[in-house]
Amino acid sequence: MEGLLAGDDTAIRALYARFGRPVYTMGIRLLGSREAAEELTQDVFVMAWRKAARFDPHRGRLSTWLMTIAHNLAVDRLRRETGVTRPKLVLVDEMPESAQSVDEDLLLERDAALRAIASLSDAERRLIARTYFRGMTAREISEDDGIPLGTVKTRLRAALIKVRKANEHKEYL
Amino acid sequence: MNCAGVRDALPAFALGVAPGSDTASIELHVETCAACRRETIDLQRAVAAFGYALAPVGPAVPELEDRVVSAVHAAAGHRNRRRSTRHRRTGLTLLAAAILIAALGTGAVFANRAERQRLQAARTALQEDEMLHRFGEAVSSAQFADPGADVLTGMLATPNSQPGAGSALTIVSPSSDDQAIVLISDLPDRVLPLTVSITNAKGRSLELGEIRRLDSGGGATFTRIVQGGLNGFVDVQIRDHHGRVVLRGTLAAETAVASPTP
Repeated sequence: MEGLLAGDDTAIRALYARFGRPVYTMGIRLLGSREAAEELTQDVFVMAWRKAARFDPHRGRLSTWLMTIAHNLAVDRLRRETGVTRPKLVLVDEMPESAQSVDEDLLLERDAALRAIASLSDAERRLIARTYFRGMTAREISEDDGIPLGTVKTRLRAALIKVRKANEHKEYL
Repeated sequence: MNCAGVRDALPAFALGVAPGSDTASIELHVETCAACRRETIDLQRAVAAFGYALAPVGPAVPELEDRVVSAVHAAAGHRNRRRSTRHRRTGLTLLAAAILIAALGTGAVFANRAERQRLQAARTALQEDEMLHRFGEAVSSAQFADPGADVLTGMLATPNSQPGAGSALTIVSPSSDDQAIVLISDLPDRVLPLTVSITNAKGRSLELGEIRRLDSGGGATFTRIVQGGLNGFVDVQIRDHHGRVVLRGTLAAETAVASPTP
């Protein structure tokens, strides 16, 4: 992170080597175009550089921090660009990995993702899809579905607790 | 926001879809509440798994890596150039930094808690940089080019050791409209809207305007051109919607950094 703060080429490229692909994937899958995904990827790494001083490894892993930045930027764009047709959401358990090489870190992260998805009921999966992947707020879901806001919040919490339990003791550095 | 409110809003926060007002309040709260901070980290870890749940796509074009490196370099270079220009132009940003460091340091002392001091120290560098940047932008946009202008500055402090810090600057010009610039940080959304006013020695008060939104750090930049003149107006107060003073301070000539009023 010190290298990133200093704008060091090697540090930026190392970070990109590890996280460039999942960030780009998020851009493609959520925003729907190669151009948008490339813009998102650039924005994420610039934002990571801006916020590097704020990163505290005692508060969370680097992958969590960086993917949170990526997700927040993607959701900002989703919510800003209303009326744009978004691609159908395709999750990792619906599409087998191709033969291309994937590094070990990414495989471990995907294992955690698969456990997370598997821990959820269909209804919870849809709920997470609408919030995390489509950027809908709890209030918007409450209004769309005609159910109390508190119910949506409770369901979100229950879903996240399931995911947390599914990956308990599976954390790695 | 208290612990119950934070816990209620945390799932949406962790999923990145909490309303802006909730986000600012949660970020502020978790810096001082270890239990809620642990809960936040746990939920964010859970949510992070979803980032890898998307079906993989083919690799990006190879040039993207170079574009990313260039974008980071450009951002770093832009900031460095901007700093350099500001310092050459007026020297005011150095003063602003002194004010901000003093204000943030005061907040840590008031809090009188080792944990808060540690957190505050970690945030200081970032806040200083962000607020300094905003201060520089505000001063630049004020068309500050009048050599005859008097510049008064001061830090703003909370009256009861509550979270919050700020600084203020007025430019009193003999040849053009006067200007007031106020920077605040670390305030919760519940105090909104905030009213900014400034008072002279005779007790005459000018209401400069309102701050209606805070950023995720509980901060805002407020600038106002005052045609009636700010000569003699040195006591800055920022009040919440109940009229309670949230931040206050006294401005002095730019050669000295003023102490906050009690």
